[in-house]
Amino acid sequence: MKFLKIAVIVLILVCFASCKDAQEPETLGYVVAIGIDMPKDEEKGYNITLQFANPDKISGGSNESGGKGGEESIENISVLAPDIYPAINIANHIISKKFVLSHTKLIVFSDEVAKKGVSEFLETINRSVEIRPNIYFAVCKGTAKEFLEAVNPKTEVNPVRYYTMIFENDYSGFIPQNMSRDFFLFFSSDEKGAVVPICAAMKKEKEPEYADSGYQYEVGDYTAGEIETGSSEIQVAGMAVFDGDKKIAEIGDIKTEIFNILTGEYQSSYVSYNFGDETPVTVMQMQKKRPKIRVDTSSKTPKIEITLFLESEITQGSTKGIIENELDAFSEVAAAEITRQAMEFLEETKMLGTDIVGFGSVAKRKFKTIGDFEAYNWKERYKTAQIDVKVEFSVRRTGLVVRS
Amino acid sequence: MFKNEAINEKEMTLIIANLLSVKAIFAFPRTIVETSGNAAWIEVIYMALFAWALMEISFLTYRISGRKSIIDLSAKVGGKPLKIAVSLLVVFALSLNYATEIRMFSESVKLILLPRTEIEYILILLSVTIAIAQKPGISAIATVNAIFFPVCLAFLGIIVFFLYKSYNFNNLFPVLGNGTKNILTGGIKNLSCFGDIIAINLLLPHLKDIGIPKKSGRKALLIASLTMFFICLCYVLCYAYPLSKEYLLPVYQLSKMIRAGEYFQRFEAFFEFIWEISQLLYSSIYIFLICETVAKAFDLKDRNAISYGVIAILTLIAAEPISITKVLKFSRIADMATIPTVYILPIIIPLLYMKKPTGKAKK
Repeated sequence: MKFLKIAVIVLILVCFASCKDAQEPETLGYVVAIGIDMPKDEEKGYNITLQFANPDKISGGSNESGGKGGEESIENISVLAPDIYPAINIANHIISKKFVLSHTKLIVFSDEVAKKGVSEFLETINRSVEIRPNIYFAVCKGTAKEFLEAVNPKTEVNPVRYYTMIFENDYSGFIPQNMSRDFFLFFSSDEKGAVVPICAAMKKEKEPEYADSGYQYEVGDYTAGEIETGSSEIQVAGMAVFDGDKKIAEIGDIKTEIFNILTGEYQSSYVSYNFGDETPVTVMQMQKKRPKIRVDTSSKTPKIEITLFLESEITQGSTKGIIENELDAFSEVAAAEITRQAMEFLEETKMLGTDIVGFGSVAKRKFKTIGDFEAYNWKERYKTAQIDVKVEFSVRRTGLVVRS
Repeated sequence: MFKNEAINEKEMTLIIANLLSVKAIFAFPRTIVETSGNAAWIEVIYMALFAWALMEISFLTYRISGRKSIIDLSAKVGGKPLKIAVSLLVVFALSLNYATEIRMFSESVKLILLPRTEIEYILILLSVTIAIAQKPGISAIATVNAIFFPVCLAFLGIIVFFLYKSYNFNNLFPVLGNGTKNILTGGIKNLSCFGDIIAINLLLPHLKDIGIPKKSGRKALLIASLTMFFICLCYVLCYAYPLSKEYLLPVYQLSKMIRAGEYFQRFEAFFEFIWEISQLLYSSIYIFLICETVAKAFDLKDRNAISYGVIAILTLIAAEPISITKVLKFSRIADMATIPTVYILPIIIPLLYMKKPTGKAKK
């Protein structure tokens, strides 16, 4: 009897060890990015590009020096399909791998698709067990296919890490710091509008336009694809503004940095200020603490007060004067510039009719129930809101030099 | 009472806490968010207080009933017919709950882990596992539960902690969510969430003294209420309403969001671990309770003799709904049907027992 029991247990273990859903890693094609473009005139569905990792090149195979990285670490395949999963289905018949989306890091919508609306893809992504909530969305100038084909992760062996480093860059404010989850949470809500970074394959079409202000003085106001670099084949800069699931506007990189400061997602970046000299004063600017936002909804015209807290470290001073003697004056100039930029940016969002900073989330606090908040109609009220921006800017350090 | 089936206070506390918390870990946060919106955490507090009050009322009857369960008491009150009637009501309520729970669990396993495996195959595998797990009796289940359930709670705590970056406190507002009326009525509708406190009564004959159920019940309800409260609060803080009412498995969804640095991701593996263990223990306790109730109703000496048949029948019932939406509808009906049985019977039967004239009075 004892022998029989052991035999049954062993049999169960052996039979169930290789279950029906077992998958060998070498049979899988790990999709790292998906591009979605409109089809040609006579075609139906979407032109979907799947960018998948080439694990042999990433791990280095038998090469002791490790993976190769660059173009060789990724491959692209484009198919015409009505949605992401039908595209996977078709691609499975073309490439000898089973495509999985569990390592997908980026979904790029072409400008045309973004303007038409992305809700059908959001539905797929939200329902999918494979796709994670912390992937990135981007809107591409030109086609998503061109963008993905131009991606060449020279500095990274792992393409997933390459996208992580690009889209989660804490040391620059030129793209919005948000993930797909934020888009899901707010694209259909009244309290906040959605934004997505803009990306592009390099195509220099535009002469630099310098911001008409002392903030980021002499730094070009670009969106992706316009920054002249000479080497980079792709760029990510600026943001696309959405109303619901449709793209309605583009905002340049400098205003995107202001957006990040207003939302509190800004970490730090180098900012140049015009301080009445030919040479700008450059500082390492950091957000000291999250902005303090107050929203008064007692009248039909909401009143918004936002206080920003920034600190900085001088990295390049004036060549003529001694900046250390003028820190208070410089702080005032910098605060005034940021205030002006923020006010301009917020007026622009009011014109667009979308509260992308998320003042609605703070306004909600004034209401007892969701019904009361919906009845207030925040989205409409925001268009007429009175906004007051205050900036507390301080210079904390002056680098390794102190002149007097 | 069957041989070697005594359980101590700690084991009893953790058994009840497991029964109450498993629902909280799975679909319940979504159900609560559906009714109360972002005020789900307030509804949990309200439900817990309500369940607590009902539990305390039932404790008052223990002075008269002693360590007798409602099945034993019903036999004394109305003889065999009442005993069978009460047992069938209890078995009906427990079976509905069990069938929906194992089907939902199997559906979720299929969705997340085994997409190509047939649901019937998963159900059968689960049922075989439950059959093996429940065989040694409540004492063994309680011991294993006392080891693993605290581990499950610890992992849940880790998930709640690592989500701190995703908390958005603005999601708590408007503070009353869908309104007071929805919280109050929804709280009563969803009270079945705490329905498993009937297990305190059914397990009375297995306890060493009458002080245990009160202490264990209170501690277990506190553990379960806190678990439900933190899960709901965490879910509401991470997912803004109305998106939060859409997800089938809120805790799985939460565990997917965790990113502790660049390398510690995919915490859903932890969730899957605690989910499977707690579900297996939950189902084993349920089968034990159902079989023991049936055995008592029909004066059967060997509970194990019917356990395999009961598991087979309940597996067939669980396999009946064709889709997950049907299971969810079935689950709502089951919840509504169980509330009177689980909350009212443990109060009514002891009251009837009190009213029944004693032998002396009859003379």
